[in-house]
Amino acid sequence: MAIGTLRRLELARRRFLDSDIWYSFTRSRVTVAAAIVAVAIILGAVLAPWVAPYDPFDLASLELLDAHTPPSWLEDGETRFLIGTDDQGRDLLSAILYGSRVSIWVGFASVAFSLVLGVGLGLISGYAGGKIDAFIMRVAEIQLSFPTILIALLIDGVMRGLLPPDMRDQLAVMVLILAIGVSGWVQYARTVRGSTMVEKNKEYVQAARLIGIHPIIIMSRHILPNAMGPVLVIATIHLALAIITEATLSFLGVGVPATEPSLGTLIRIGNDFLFSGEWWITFFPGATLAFLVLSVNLLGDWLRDALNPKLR
Amino acid sequence: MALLEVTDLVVEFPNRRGVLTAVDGISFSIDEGEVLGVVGESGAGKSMTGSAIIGLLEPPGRIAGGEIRLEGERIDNLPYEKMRRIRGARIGAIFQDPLTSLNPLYTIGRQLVETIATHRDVSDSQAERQAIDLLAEVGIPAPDQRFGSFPHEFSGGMRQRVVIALALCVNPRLIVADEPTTALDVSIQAQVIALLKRLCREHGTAVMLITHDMGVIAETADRVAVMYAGRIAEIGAVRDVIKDARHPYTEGLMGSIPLVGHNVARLTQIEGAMPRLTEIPIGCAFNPRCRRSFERCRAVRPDLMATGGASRAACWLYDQDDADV
Amino acid sequence: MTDLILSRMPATLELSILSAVLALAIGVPMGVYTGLHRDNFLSKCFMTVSLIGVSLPTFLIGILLIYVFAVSLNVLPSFGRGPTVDIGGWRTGLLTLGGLKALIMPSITLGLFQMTLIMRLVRAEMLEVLRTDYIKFARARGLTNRAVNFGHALKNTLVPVITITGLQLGSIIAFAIITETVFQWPGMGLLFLQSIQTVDIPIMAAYLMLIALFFVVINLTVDLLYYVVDPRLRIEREVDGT
Repeated sequence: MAIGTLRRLELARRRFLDSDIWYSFTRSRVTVAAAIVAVAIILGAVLAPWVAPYDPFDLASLELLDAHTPPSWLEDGETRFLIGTDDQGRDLLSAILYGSRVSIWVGFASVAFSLVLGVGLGLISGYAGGKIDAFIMRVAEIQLSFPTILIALLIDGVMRGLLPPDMRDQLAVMVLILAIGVSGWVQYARTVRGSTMVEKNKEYVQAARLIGIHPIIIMSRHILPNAMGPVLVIATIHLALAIITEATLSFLGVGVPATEPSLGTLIRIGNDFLFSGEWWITFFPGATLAFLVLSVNLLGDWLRDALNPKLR
Repeated sequence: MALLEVTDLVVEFPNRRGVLTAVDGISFSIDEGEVLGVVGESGAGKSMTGSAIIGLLEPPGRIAGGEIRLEGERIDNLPYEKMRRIRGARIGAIFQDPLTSLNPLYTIGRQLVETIATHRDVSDSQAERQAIDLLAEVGIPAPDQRFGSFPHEFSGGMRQRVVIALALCVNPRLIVADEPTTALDVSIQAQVIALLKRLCREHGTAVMLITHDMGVIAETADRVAVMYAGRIAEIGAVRDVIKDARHPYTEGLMGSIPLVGHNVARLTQIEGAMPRLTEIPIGCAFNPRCRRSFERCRAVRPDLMATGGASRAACWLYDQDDADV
Repeated sequence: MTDLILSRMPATLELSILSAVLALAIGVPMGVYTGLHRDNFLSKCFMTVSLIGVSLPTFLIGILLIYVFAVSLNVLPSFGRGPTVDIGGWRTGLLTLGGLKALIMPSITLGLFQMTLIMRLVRAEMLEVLRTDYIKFARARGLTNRAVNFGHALKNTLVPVITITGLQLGSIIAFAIITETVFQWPGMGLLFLQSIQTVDIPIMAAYLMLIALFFVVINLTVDLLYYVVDPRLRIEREVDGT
């Protein structure tokens, strides 16, 4: 059929706007608000180099005299540091924008890693069956009985031990992504494995196998699209969890290196000054983290309800 | 006075695209001890009617019009607590799947005793005695031992007997049975139906038997109502409706049932399919598929009317003024 | 070295168990309530609180609590276990007022996440159960609301909840690492963290083995519990008179 691409896009757009998903999205004010907040924070983070008033990592521009300045609306505050400075004179707003960048980057990257690893293993496990399936599932079970934070800590600790000290800082972010990613693949694998096993027995898959189509093509073209719905829901929930895990690890001091502080690191720094009454150094990064995770969770909730066939 | 009287019942489901009418103004009655079969395809509104009668329509579904009277009193507009007392004690219900109808964590004895104790003021040991007697009545072997068994320890047919025992334990006047044999093996179906028939005759209980299986109706029912797209197409004594169907839809239904001994090359098939609730045609809902439809059928919806035979049908063919037959 | 870890164990265990108890005691009733009254105002409040509980990282909650109750109001201690009493080798903080005070904030911090998880789980299970045929049949038999909701629905809801919660206990012990860090609680978790920072392999290994032991014991207990609670798992003869 020679329908032009433009026309196809128009049809798709109309179908989308008329769909149940869009309807439930716009109906829920909370979800819309959550989406706006999430987008705002993500945009701020992505565009940080252009949006932030200062570069908090430019050591030359820091003045110790500026340190411990409270937010601009308080006494002793200055308008050029909108929400105050930390103990080294860094503008908090800029630090938060850059910090969000790291937090979001690590979060997305870990989820992507987990997703690819989990979906891949799930497909293989479900499709191949037999001993391969048993082995993968056994590993999954063992891993599942351990809390993710422990696994992430473990991997991080082990890597730290294996790498020579000078490389530790450089690779810290990679190791972190690896750690969080590996600790999270099981959920994806299980879901995809379930879908795969269901689809595998359907006639169209058997027909494809008969014709001799390569299993990988069968898996990706036919089975995968059916499993993507639940995977998407898991991914959003996982994103929130990944961001929290990264923040926690950084707070504990075993996450991102000090040269690239994330929101967790900023909170840790601020924690030292809580008792002297300088609440803003902890509060603002904390609030940003909280809002980010909250919006991601709300979006995940909405997505789950929207994609749940039982609730339609 | 009839035991149950339903007049112009309307059941609606509001949803975001508007209001769906699942049952659109049906009227029928059930006498004491009578078995009324309600037959029709999936989606015709039979289960909705049953749910409405026992007051367990799932929200957002609701009764939007009409009346339901039990022994003369209205029951469709009662507050929850009053209706609860009627449920089980005066109107019982049986559902399709005996496996999921029983709580897997409680023994069947406990579930029986609980039901008896809710409606009757008896001591625990009396209730237990009644429960064991009931189990014996429905044909459970060694009832005093089986009293302490869990649902998963019974086979499908046995479970449905337990369900029947639960429905009958406080002696209701009417039982709404929604597809009671559909989930059972064919060989078991016959036994369960026989049991139901016998017990209801013995206790004088009326039955509203909802099913899509005409065979079961032929075996068990005294009268039958044929439903189509939320309305009753035909209602009458079972023998009359089967032998001498008046409504074209019923005719088609009867013709599509294979009968042993009749050598037919092809079974009659009704063209098309029952319309979805959102696309019910104007006039008689069956008219697009009816070979004998005419102008009036497409314009005005017929109510149940006398047909010259013993049953009543909602069909313009039988309107005396219309000489178009 | 095993002595080192074992000497820190009571601190972590007391904290973890108290948190678990708190999480259950508040989470289950809240879950039941929101399951039964879905669109109530109070339910919506509970759901919002649960959302916040799930979204705030444990350490942030701890910091917040410290700031409000220790720094601003100065009613609770901000770090440590307070005075402890030694009972036959087990150093407990439950017998002194100071010790109890010191337990409050850390156990709330540790338990909040679990509490919200339990609440959501109970709610989801409850909603699922309320839609089953046996609940419908129970209503059709005219059983009272109380019997249906608490006698039937609740019991069926709690079966999977018990097992999942049991498994969560292990998770709590692990999450204690974070709480112990924020509150400088002298438990195993803090020890483990320090061993990671200093790359102290022996201690890391010892901690992991102890945790693994805990997990095995917990899993076993949960399996046994399941067997006791769910009659379907006990193999018995089938009645087949047909």
